[in-house]
Amino acid sequence: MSALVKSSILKHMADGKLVVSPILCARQRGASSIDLRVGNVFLMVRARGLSVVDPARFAHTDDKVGDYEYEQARRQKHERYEAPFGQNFLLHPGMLALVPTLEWIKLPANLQGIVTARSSWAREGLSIATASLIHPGYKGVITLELANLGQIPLSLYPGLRIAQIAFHTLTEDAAAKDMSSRFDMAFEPAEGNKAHGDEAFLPPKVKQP
Amino acid sequence: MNPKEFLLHECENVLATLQDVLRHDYAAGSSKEFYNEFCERLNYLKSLIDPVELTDISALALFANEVSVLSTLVHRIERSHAGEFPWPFTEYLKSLANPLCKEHLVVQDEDEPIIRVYAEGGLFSYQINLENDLSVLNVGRRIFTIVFPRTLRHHVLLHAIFGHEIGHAAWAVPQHKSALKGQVVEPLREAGPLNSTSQAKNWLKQSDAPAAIVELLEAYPDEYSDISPNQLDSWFQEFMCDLFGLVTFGPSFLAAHQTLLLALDPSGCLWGPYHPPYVCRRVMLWRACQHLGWPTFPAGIQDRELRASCEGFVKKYSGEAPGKWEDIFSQEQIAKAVDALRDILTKAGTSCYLMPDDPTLLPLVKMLHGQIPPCGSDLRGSEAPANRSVDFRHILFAGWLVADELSAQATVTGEQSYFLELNKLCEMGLLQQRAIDRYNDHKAGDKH
Repeated sequence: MSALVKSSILKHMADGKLVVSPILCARQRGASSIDLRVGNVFLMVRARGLSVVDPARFAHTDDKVGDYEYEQARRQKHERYEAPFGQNFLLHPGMLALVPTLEWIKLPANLQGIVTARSSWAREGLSIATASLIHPGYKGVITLELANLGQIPLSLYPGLRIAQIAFHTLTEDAAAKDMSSRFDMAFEPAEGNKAHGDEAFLPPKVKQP
Repeated sequence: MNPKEFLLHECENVLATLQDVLRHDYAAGSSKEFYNEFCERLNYLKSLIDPVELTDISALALFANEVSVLSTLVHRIERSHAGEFPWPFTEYLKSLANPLCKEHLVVQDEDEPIIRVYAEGGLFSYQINLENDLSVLNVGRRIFTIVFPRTLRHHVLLHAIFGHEIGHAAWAVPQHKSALKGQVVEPLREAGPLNSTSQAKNWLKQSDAPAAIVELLEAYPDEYSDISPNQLDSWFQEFMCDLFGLVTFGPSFLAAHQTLLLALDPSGCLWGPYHPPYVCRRVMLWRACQHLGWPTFPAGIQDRELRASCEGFVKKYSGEAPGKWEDIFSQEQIAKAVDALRDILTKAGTSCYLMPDDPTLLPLVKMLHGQIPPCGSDLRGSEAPANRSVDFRHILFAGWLVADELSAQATVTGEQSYFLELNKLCEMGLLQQRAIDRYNDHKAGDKH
């Protein structure tokens, strides 16, 4: 396993195996990474009346569409904000927001992506990716988990370069069955099911009255 | 509280509601302009109400109506959350509508309208609400509100139907209305079965009318056997707006028009006080496509698969020769109307749709096949990326071409989710295209 340098990244793109679209300028590509820009949707985590992160509320639902507890747990804790280009979004100290990249990514079966912050923003207190591995075969936007660890608000504009992605080759192609994920073909951020596969450790689901 | 006091009180309430709007996060643009325009109108209205005598009943009634109009408008704006409609599409829509809706108002020389957008329930809620009557509050800019169906938030392919709605908006602008009426509607009215109400009534009862029409007339003779002059006027406005949609949005309008209107009336034969039967509208569009030369467009395409795809599209949406009953306009009438419309649009600064060439359309279709948002992005891994400017209407056309291919597969598999995914890919493509254009424009500005 090794990291790709710029020429290898470009070769993978020329072959059509790797897609990062759009790359607006040559400056967006570093020696061994590609800068990623802020998309236009912001899911702000909000402490509202029924906001909670409790895996038990996701348990035994099997991501079933229409399940009241599952849907409510997902939707109560986020406020969605959409900003056109040129309009800012303030990330206040202590705030967490899920933000998509402007770029659409497609990874081949033998590449893994690693997302990190751009140092210029990290120095201002912006933490970007706490879950930074992008699995082989992924296609969609990348969700950035933005947190302001500083003491002053950060003004973010759609289109700004705030993150970067590096690519690592794998020892062999990942198996097709291992490459699917519920986040595939993501167009904007969505939270995951924190109970899936761990139901044995959670209380049995109780029917709400 | 007497009526005058109540009206002044209600003006204050409307202002308070307007200020409440600022509590919410809106990102649909024009917010400040709308706020200022609205405040100006409210102040003007209060200055008109203030001196009115309580005995002046007609003035009070008129002003009550004006306050009510402002109250309705501010409520609509309060609901215009940017997340309920695709704003990249809306931005492109505005770029088509704005030059057309510029007008000379009393106070300002020429100004673009303030366009606000909101979503509404209902499958067929596409509309542009117009301010037709500026007689009392003629103080500033006209406000248009564009309404998207809330549930079709991501369905940019269907939103091509807004080409028709822009037609209605242009009709409300006085300097265009006379041109549209004289040069587009008149050629359509000058001959054919809708030339007069009496001819129209005979046409409905013709022996070659579709079976659905005959059944309708038999079942509801009172409701359907008469056509009034006002009804004919409305129908011709609809015909004009359909041509408007075709000329401004191109083939994607044809597809959206058929998909939505046939969903509303699968027989295609129903009509109402404002809308003529779909079958007639379709044939009129077929004739317009013939005039624009679109059926021969696929022959010029080099790529075999793309050519087949375009041929399938043309066949599906404009390829069938019309039946006699529904063919109410001659080719000459349509040619005259379409040419005049294109001329009016060009003079106003709104670009008419031009069919794309292979190098423009093929990459967009290929991107969609590869599940990549279609736009002018350079995917070749070039040292210096050469991203292209692509007309957003070509993105929609590419989307419909692929939708039709996938639709054929879906008929076999029963899987319908492809349409939402395709729409989302196109919506994302529009967003990315805006980023490309914004970046390239900025770069070009720097050079100059």
